[in-house]
Amino acid sequence: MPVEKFDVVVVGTGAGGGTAMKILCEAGLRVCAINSGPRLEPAKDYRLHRQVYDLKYRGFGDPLRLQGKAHQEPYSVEESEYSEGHDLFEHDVAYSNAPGTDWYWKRCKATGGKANFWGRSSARFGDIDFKAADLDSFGENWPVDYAEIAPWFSKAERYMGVASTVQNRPSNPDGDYLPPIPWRCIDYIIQKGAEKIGVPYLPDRCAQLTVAHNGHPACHYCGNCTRGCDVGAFFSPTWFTIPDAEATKNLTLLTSALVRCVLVDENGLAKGVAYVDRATKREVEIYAQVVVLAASCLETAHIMLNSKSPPLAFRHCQLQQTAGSESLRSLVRWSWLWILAAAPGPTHHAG
Amino acid sequence: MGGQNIERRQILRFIALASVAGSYPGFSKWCFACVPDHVTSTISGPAQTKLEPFMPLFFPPPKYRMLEHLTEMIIPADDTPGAKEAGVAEFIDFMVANRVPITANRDVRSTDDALELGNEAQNRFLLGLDWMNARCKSEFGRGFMDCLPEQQQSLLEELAYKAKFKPTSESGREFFRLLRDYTVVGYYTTRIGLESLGYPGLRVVWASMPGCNHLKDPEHIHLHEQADSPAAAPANARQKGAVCARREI
Repeated sequence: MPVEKFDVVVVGTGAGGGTAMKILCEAGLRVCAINSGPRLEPAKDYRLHRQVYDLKYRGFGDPLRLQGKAHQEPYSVEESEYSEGHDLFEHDVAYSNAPGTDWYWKRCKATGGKANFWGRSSARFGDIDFKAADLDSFGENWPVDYAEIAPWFSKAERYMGVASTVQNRPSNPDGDYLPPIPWRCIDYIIQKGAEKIGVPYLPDRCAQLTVAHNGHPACHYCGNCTRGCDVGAFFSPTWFTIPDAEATKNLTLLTSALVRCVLVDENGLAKGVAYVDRATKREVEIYAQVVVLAASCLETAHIMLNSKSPPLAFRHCQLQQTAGSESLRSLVRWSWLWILAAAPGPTHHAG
Repeated sequence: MGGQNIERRQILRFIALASVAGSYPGFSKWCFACVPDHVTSTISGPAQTKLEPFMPLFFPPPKYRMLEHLTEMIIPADDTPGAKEAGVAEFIDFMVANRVPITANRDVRSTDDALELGNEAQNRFLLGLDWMNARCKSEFGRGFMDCLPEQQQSLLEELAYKAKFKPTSESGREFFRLLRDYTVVGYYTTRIGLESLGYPGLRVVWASMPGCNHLKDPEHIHLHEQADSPAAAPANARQKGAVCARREI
């Protein structure tokens, strides 16, 4: 029986993975996308329009809901009684911290990942970011500059729908924007005060739809964005990139599959991935020409560290621990990291 | 699902399903929906599916009545309904019985943490109510619920207001803080409480975001200089792709 080989396997279906699968599927490639957790279904998993008094524990949640789970700590804000019980966040795989440290790792394993709940702040990098090392001698410059990337920012903004104003500040370059979100009372109050001390107070670049956009409805301001949007009025993989990829019929989406490592052939080239099926607990191998790792900042590094002999080209990569940022920056940054990771080269042992 | 135009009426359908109030058996005042959105509830209208008297889950009935009275003293009915009508005592009884940490002086990082805080709350409520009764017995010769209203009021004020603190009532003050916090949380997470605040979030569908629309309000009128504001007159910028170019910073 011939073993199926895909053109590309994409690990992770969040901000980076969702975009990768859409672009690659639309280019005609056969893509296998692998997601750690279950398929997220807004109609079933989100309960946004409930008021707090509609919830059994008034939003505080059942104190026993994580009993017996490997990872005991609740995830703040996004994982709440509004959507509890639908297994969206990682509690079956625990992690530990080095002694004396307390790293808090937010892991959403459902399709779309943390980008289902992200803050939607979508500022462009400027050369102040791309060429930061020139300014402050820390780290490395990007191998690209703003002029080169600007058209790609425009493309992304036109796809996502980002609401803001023209501000003429090189540190936060202007983009292609929808009408801004109207200011509340507090915005006017702060702006007046900030003006007195020379601090600009300006609308953020918010990936929220103030008008209907490309078939997605305008926001109706229910206020529950960070619990997930049940109408798709802001950019998320669940409402935008994953359906686009599926519409091409080139996508195979595997869920509840936790990728363990990249499989490498005798020439040191990636040939696929090995994942553990969460249901059967058995390991399965998937083969492809190209492997895209977009499994979130730390998990991508984890997968690479698990991948052995011949070791991956670690020293060409910058495994920057930039966890926490939920903006377009991660998308741009991670698209570079996976390009670099796929290249073979002189190695040092990755342990 | 993704990419389709969600009509307003579909949004309204979500809301209708989401806010059908079910009744939780055993509550006399607290209506809430436990059914998932996609299952249409057959229950409509106010609480009681049973005609039995309400039995608290945790507090013995005399202590429960004391809790009801105390919460009503903290948030009395005036031009808006009070804690009693909002079912705050039921809320406290339910949360304490189920060991749901409401107020915590440390993060809840595990089930054990949550249960430990929940157990602590149980003890602190029982001991606190006992303390109040003991204090009333020694000062007024009667339990709290048998005291005159002025006596109850004077004790509560001694525990609540800094100017009236006495060195001997330290544990009473701690209990009052706990009780007040649960009362406030229990009240302002009800429809009654949120309506009393005029909370705009009770409305979940807005055709457009009103923003600051207090143009005639004396407190806000000086804030609006339409020509200068970066996000001014959003209603004028409804065309797709329009931006509001204003001040250069």
